[in-house]
Amino acid sequence: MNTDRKKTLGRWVLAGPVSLVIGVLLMASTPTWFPAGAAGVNNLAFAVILFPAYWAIPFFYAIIDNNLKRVSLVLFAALAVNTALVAWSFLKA
Amino acid sequence: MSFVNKDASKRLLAVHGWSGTVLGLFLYVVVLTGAIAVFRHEIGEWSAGGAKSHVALDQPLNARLAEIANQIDPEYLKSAFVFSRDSGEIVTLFSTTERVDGELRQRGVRTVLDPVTLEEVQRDEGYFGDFAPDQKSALERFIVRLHVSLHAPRPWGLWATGILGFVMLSAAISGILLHKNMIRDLFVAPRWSSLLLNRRDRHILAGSWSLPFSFILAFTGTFFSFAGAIGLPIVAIVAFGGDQEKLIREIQGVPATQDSTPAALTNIDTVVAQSTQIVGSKPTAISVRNWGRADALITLRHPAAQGSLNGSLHRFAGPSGDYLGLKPNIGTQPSAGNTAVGLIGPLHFGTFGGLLSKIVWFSLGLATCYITLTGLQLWVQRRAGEAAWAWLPKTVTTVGYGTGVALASAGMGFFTALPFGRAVDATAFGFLAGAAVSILLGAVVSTNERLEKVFAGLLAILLPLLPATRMALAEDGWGTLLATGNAAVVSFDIVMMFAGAFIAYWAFWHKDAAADHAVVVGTPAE
Repeated sequence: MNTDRKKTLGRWVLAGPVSLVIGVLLMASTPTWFPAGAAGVNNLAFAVILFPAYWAIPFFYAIIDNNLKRVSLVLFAALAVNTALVAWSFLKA
Repeated sequence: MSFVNKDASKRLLAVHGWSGTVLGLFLYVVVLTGAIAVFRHEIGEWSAGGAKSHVALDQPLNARLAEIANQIDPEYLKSAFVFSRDSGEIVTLFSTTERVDGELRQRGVRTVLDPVTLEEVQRDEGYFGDFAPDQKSALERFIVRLHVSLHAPRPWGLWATGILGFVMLSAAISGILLHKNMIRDLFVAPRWSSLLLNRRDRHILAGSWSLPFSFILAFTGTFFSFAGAIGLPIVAIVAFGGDQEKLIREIQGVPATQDSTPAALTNIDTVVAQSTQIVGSKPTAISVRNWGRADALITLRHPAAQGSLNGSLHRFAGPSGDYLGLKPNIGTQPSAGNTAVGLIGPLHFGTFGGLLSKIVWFSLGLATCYITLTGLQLWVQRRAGEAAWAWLPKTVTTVGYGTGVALASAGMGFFTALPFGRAVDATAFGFLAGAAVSILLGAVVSTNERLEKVFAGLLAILLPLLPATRMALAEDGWGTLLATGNAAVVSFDIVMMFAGAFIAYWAFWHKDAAADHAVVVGTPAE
């Protein structure tokens, strides 16, 4: 497989499944860091409301940034941080 | 100036084109049915031949509801819900919630009351999901379900429409990023030098104007599809250790204190009158939690008041009938989350400004369908002569017109079977028959131009045939309908006739200037 094809495939994976997983993890982690507010529901409501944006941001970032290494780094960092937040919420429970 | 550099533009264009090509036809079906579903209540009233009464819940109901409450298993008094259908019939649902095979299900009694006499016309008992569906609202329900889930089982259908919503969102965002000059594109005059350029300019023109709408619709649509399918379960897992009942209690704002001491429920008619006076509009639904207990709560839903985007919920103490104040849709007190959730519905359904906003939303929905189809036509034209894409032009025409033919055919099935009580099955059968005929036509008609004419002719016949069939089998004529406040039914009949006439004019008498110019000038590559 030549370099261009590898890059295209890598970008496809980052913009496709990786972005979706980040979107879902961001939604899952939002109740842990988003202020609940006086009614105690803001963290729950905005977790679900913002899901389309949570998915779209990494998706477009993976397409727009020319530097594929930077894209990988940023997206995997986002993946790691949100996985840690979700894991922390389970350990806390 | 473009928002992104040349390489990124190329990738965005590839995503814009390929996602539209692979999923564009499915997206078209979802958007077209969504545009039609903006008028779901009007369609419901039209297909039912008008509402028997528009008084609905604004009449003395207390004695009748108390009578039903005394007849049923006390277990079902945990939750009571009363609303009226588009046909005017009043429905009462008394239930309790149970967990069956890990899933929350409502079990109880449903009664359907005549809106004029309040006589019981139907009663069912068991799990709500197992009740026979209402025949009179079959057409409205069929269209809405096609839009929401493509009639696929849960959660697969919701995931499918959620992904389509995201495709539309990505098309809208990439459309914004790809514009080299947004202001110029908003006022671009379609060029006449070639058919390809003309179609491209028209696509850009329609796309530019409807970008904000497409964005709003796609964002809210993706939310609706994924909220129930994955959003709430995931939030329940993280925030409540997987306890969805606890999440629902938190969202619904169920009071923590319980008091099962028996206590008579106040007169519901007095509560309705009081709430109507406070809000200034009649309630559209009444719910009672813990009927006959000291902790009973009555909640009334009112439609959006003048200058307000959303309807409102008002709470009253069950035993005393004291007004307890506004009840947020989520939680027990006002919050930013409640406001944001409340905005999503009106923005998606276009219900924020009465009939006018519905007409605007319907028109913008049709514009989005036009953008989807012209985008596909552009893709096809750019690849004219490539054998791999030779199947696409007729497929676009078949789905583009065929969806309309299948929906009209579903309507024909509905109207002919409604008097025999088989409207639910006949609507689905009509749709499938219309789809099968469309696919067959797509396969046998030799050229795309001829196929367009055949479909247009079919639609021009079917659309006026819908009100004709409705009128032939209905009890009430236009005079009676107008006299009983059912002008919506008459309006819909006229709209269908005009729609048929307009399609016939456009297909057979209107001259396509772009096509004429292309014949004269030729169709050079872009």
